[in-house]
Amino acid sequence: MRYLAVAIAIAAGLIVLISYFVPALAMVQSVLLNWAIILAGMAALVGVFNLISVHGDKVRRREKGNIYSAVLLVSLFASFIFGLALGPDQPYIRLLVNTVIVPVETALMALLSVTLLYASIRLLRRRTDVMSIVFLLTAVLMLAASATLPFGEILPLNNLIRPWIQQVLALGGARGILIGVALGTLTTGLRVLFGADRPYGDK
Amino acid sequence: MSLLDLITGIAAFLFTLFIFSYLIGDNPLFRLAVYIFVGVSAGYVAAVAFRQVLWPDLLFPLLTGSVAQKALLVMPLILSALLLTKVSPRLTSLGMPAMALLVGVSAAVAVGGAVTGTLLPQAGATINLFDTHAAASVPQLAQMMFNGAWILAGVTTTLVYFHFGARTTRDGSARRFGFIEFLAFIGSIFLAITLGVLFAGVYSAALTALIDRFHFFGTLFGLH
Amino acid sequence: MDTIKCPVCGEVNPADAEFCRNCLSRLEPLAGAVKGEDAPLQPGQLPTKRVTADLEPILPQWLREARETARQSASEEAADSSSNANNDKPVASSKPDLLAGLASQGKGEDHEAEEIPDWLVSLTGDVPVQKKKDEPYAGDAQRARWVELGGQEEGTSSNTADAQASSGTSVENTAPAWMAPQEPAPEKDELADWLSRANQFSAPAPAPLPPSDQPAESAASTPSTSTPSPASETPDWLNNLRSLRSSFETVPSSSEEQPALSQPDELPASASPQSAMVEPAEIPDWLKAFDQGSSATSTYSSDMPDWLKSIAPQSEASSKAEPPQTEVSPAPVSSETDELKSSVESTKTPDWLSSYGPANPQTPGSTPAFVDGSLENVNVEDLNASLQAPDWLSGSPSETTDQASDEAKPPAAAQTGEDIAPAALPSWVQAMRPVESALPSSIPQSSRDSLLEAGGPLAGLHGVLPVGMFRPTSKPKTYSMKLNATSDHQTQAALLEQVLAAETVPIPMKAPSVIMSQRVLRWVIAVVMFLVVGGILFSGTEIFGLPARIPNDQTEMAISTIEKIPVGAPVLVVFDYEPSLSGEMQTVAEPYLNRLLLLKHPRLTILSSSPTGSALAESFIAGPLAERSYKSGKQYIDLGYLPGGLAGIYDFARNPNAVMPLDVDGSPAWQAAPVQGITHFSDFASVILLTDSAETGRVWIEQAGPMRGTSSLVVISSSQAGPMLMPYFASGQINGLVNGLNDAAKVEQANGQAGLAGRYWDAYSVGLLLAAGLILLGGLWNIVPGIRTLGMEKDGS
Repeated sequence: MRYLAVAIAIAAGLIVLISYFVPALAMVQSVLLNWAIILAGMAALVGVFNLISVHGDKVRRREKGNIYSAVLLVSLFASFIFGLALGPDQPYIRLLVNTVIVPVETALMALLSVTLLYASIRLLRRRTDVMSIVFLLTAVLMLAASATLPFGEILPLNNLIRPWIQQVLALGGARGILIGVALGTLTTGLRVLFGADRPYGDK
Repeated sequence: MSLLDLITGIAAFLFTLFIFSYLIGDNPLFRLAVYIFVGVSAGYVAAVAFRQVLWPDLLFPLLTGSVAQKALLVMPLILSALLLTKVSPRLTSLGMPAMALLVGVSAAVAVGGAVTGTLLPQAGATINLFDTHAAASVPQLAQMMFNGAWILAGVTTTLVYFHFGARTTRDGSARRFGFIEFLAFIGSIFLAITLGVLFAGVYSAALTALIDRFHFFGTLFGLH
Repeated sequence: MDTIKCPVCGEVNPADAEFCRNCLSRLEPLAGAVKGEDAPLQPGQLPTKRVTADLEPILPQWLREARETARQSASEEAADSSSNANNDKPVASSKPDLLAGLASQGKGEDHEAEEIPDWLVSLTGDVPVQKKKDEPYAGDAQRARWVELGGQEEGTSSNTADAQASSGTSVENTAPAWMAPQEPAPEKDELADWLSRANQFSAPAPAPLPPSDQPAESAASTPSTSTPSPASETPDWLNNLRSLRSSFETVPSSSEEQPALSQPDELPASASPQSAMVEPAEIPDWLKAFDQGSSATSTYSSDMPDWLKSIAPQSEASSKAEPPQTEVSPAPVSSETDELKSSVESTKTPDWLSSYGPANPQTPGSTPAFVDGSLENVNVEDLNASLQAPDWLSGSPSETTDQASDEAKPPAAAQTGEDIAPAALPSWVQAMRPVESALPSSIPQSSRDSLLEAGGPLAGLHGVLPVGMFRPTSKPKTYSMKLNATSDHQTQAALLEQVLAAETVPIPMKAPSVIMSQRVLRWVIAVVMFLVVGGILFSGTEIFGLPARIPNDQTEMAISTIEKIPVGAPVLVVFDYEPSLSGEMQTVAEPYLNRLLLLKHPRLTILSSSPTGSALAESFIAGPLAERSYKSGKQYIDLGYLPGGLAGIYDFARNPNAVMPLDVDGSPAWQAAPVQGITHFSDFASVILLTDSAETGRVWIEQAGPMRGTSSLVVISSSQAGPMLMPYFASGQINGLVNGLNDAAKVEQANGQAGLAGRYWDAYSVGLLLAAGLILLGGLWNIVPGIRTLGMEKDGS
């Protein structure tokens, strides 16, 4: 099974990559991509099944917090059944999204503002070096430069410093990061295509 | 506001309050809200995955499609079934072929996109910063050159910062070459600036989310 | 100096030492294959005969000394007890030599030395030891035990007869297997060997045994006599017999004093049938002659050894005595007894037996046949004191009275039961039990008295194995403990000590920060922010100025792309953000999309690579864009969820019709009005990407960007993704970027309409300024202790 998986990964990857340069393989590429899309949808289902399995075991074994797991399972099955029956675009299903998912996630994001502020205040106590100081100064500058005052903008800050930092200094760093990420993606992808890396479960 | 809107609004308000209660500390209300959220999200995602992916792309064509379509869908059907074995720890190895196909295709697409979508364009853009023909005037050219130098310095020093090749010194420690070390220090400065800008952006987004929640409260209770 | 550690006690010994100086165990195991005489026995292979005297040197020093001490004490005790001939107590040598016989063996012994087992050889010993006569021969429960004194005491291995000595007059017809006539003693029989040595001591002619008590077969099974041993190698047991003989003459009736011997368990039941017909008694018939004192030598068979023949029961009463009740099988039949008697009578008394003259000259007739005449001068009482004659010998010919024979039987049986019951030992083993007097005198009296053995072969003895006995008597060698360590070794040792010391030194833990202060600070921050931001928002103030538009920046470029879109053109709008930032995204995207819809009335195609994107899109259209009254299927179509991540995006960009054939309702999508005429990705006039993640934006830019052709690509992003998407704008890969509330406010200014961005702006600005101030203040507050901590860490390192 392991060798079969490696062969599949290498073959599929090479066909898709070669089809970038060989138009004749476009059909095979489409088939493979379609299969990958279907498998990705099934992977989402597998994740949900795993969640059911984990919390189901907690409820069955009556572990600590099994009540919450039971609540999770009840809400899961309820939303799944209703979503399957009515359809995800049905207004009641959208209502469920707007009532539960959106408020909870938005509230969690709102809490992040307090947490980020608290962490940035205590940053220099934990780590005092050049990088931390530059980081904090930049953050303060950008925060201040993104805001305005009642009487208007803080002209040098809003119209000069902020754009220059954002479009020159930060741009250079961001571009360097993007290039680095792209190089890493290239390396990792080639390793997978050559069989050196097997992240699909082969130990 | 209809009754349904009122009910959903109060429910959303309660959920928001439950999440805000985490500021005091972990409590059952917060946990209840989180567990319900996870359950609803998982159920919704499962319903979407089935109704919008598996049924129209796999099951429906297998049932009603042509022979050619069915022939092409036998393999994803088998692979999907094998992927389901990932749930069981004992049978998880059977899902390797399906995962291998997914990983192989994604890796190939990622390689192609990284090269054609980031590496080449970004490198070209860095080079084009010093395109003298793009400047209409000398001040503009000077400004372009000045900015370009900074950008180039930022790009190169940031890349050097992530270079970790070192050699052993006399005292046994591993250190980078002196000039590389200097460039890496410059790159760390650029990196700190970039991260500072990113932090400001993240905080801005979080602040906006907080304001949105308050706006929702105000709308619900007619405060504004 | 090299040293070696004892594997038993762990004592450090010199490397060249063979035995441990503390516990005297071997330091190094014997290596290599054992060959020669030391090779292990193979099946069918006869054991190699050894001279046990050669084993003397390998004995531990303490044991050798103990043996020597025992010899000396035994000789002393024998001299002291020579006057006490009537003492029935077994003689216990004060200085028992446990294995003294080893040293004396092999001296002058001929070919039979190799054939004689160790235990037997040890019984004979070199020098007969004068034993105390008052030593009872295991007649009572507390009788002393045998200790192999080696030449001083008599081993009891030959006392295999079960007959109780208490009977005295009668020898039970219990013939052990070795006494069975069907089993003639081999030439190299062990018993015959020592008996042959005993023949050295010429004994007076034994008294004729009673006719009825002459175990013929027992006599026949006795080992044949062999070369008599020198006078100096008189077996101890023979010496004992002299004392016993004297005791038999005096108090033979004290049956309870007579030891009761049980038949050896190991004696095979395959005794001759004749033996089974013997009277139920342990003492063989041929031995009954001792008890009876009658002339029964003529009844003995010719197969009997001379010494046994000489041991003719001289007491007539012994023949009338009933056999004592024992555990053993019955003695041989009377016909065999007669044979023994006759044989005993007719056989000349062997010299070694004749040497065992009666201790009491008054009873010459009761002299045991096997008593060596040369030992007449030996103090029998001393011998008796150190001997514990077997039961069958207790009924010696020296007993001439009927009283002895009468009283010896049942009591002996009872005693046998009493004595044997606790231990259940065969008689010959009991005879081997060391005598208490054989204990070394160096043993403290208290320990000797305190440690009473209750069972086993050493039952009845006190302090048999005292601790002090096993202590090495020699002073161990002293060795220098100074290590021959070089300077490098010492350096390394010191280094190791430092490392080990560092391991044990507790690392001072930093004082944990006070959690209460952290939580309080967090509460204060939250309260301040909530109050300030909420208050300003709820107040509805709009006093803070909106940010000014900057020409040719990313926002202006995005606005300019709308101008290039034809009216009613198909526009792809991708809703790729999470519900967590749906509020910001709606705020940021609303002015731009509002402008687009207002100016160009495009046909929208909605797509999302996130499962919740479709729902967010629907709520966006029904919310901020509600004024535009876009209807599904007419002005816009929702294709739903695009799975597969970058592979799905790439595939959709290559062939959107094939990848997303159905809309979110399940209806065929590409026949609807909003997507009429679209067959390729580049058919879209513009692609507007709504994303809150730089990663998602990068994927769409990388995968779909090359496929869009001349279509514009505008990214509306959250403020957290904007900095990382800026390089793509700078490189021209995207045509415009609306980043966060700041750019949304600029778009609203361009639209000339107030929107959510304007409504949020005051609270947003105050929140930003508040955060900037708190961060600056907190940084200044914490930088001083942070620098101080950094200095302390550097000093510590």
